[in-house]
Amino acid sequence: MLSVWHRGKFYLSALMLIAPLSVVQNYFATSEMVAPSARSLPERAVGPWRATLAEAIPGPPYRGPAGERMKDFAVSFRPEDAAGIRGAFLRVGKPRNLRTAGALAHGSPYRAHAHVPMPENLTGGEELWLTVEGWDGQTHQVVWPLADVMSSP
Amino acid sequence: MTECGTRTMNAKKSRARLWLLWHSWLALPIWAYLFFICATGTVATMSREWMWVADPTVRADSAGPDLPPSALVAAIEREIPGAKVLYLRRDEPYLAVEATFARPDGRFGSAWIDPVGGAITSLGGGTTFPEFMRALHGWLLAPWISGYSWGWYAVTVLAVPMLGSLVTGIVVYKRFWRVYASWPKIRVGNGARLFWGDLHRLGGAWALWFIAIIASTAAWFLIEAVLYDFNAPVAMSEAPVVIAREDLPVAQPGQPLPRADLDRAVTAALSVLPGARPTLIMLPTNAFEPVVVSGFGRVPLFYDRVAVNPYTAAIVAQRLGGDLPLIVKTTQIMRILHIGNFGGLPVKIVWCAFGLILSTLVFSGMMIWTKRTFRKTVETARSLAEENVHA
Repeated sequence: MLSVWHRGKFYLSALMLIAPLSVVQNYFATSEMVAPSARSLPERAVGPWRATLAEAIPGPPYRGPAGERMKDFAVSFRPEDAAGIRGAFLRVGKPRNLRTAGALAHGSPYRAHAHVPMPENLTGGEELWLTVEGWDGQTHQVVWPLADVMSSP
Repeated sequence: MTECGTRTMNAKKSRARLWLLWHSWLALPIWAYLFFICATGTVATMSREWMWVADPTVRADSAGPDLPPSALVAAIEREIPGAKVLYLRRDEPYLAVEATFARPDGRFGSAWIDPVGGAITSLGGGTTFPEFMRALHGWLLAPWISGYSWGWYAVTVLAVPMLGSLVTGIVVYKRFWRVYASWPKIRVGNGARLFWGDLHRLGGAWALWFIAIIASTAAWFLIEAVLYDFNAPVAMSEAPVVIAREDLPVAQPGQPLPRADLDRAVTAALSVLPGARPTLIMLPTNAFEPVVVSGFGRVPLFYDRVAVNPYTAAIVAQRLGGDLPLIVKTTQIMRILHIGNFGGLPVKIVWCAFGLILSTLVFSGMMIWTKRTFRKTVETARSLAEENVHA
């Protein structure tokens, strides 16, 4: 028994390979962007277009590199609408003007994500404002209760 | 020999033994895991080249001038209606162009395009072989949720024992530089112990510089993650460049939407990158993102990067030859040194060959221990047991 241990003890570190082996099947399977537990809200009209809002990654807000609290949200547009949209911005609280419309969503014209700064303490009454700007320079806004799209505070 | 001389000799011997013990114990308990990381790294450094060997469709074989980027984009958009190209990447002249695109359903896909004919030679999902190898080697495929992945830490922490093995190995191998003066000598046929021992010493001596680079760049990767995750007050990356709203055209009612002119943007970028071979074109995902052209340029070991407004062809920002904040610059050069992509195929071959030597070092170290130390321990234990029985 002891000799088995002495012979094999140095192979134990191969157990580290359990981590990649357990996910390798999924790795190629899909490039699914939405985790099953991520909150996703029904499509809503914003100006002439329609937008779907979702949590990009479920879980509580994370700390950004400067220590600020952040959460990633995904905004999806219909394929036929994407060309007419200049950009989408997400912000907690109503933006005062276009310059402070919020975090610019990026990554894909169809399902863009934004890194949105979060207030330190959430009361549960905050609103998430989506500002969508068209190529004609017009902006349209729609608002959701932040609590509806957060899976955890 | 005098009493004094014997004592010094014994003291030196036990010091040497101690260094050797450290050298063994720094690597042995983790050798299987370390070997896996070294082997995957060796493969990853030439992952596109393996694809070139295995798959003719990723080769840039056709003779003739390269098509402009817009033609490549058009090929993707024809093939997959609604697809929006995000990246056009061409690491080496002998490789075809790799395109990453967004699908209308929100997913991503990848394709290889012949740069001369414009034909799409293969289509794939969101994850490519090079990306897979990088993720496997770099972070064991562990997820990135907030901050650096735990897998990144699990891999980069190996830099510590590797540096330790390197230093202790140098101390233990007296006058290792003598091997540089003669042809490699490995005794084959004199028993496994001598073979593995010779191989280990030879590989260690010749790969010294490489191991120093790999271990110290990996140590930087660990530092980089700690700096980021513990919110160090330094800029870890550059703020993304955005196009100002006033620099964007406004669509007139009844007129077609403003179109981004990719070719004009890329030409403008190349005019600022003399002698550079652009390896990456990043296309915007919204109106405020510029077209970014990146490649190895004037200064060795640094990327040149130019951001262009695709609606006006004006240069929005440029970062040439390491003109970056210190930490950002260090991170960039450390990664380039680690993967060895700064000198085309010759350097990649060197990196891969020495990666193989490094992996063999880890394996041969384990074999030496099995053939020598383990055997000896078993023999000693057996003889002690026999003594006890007969006592």
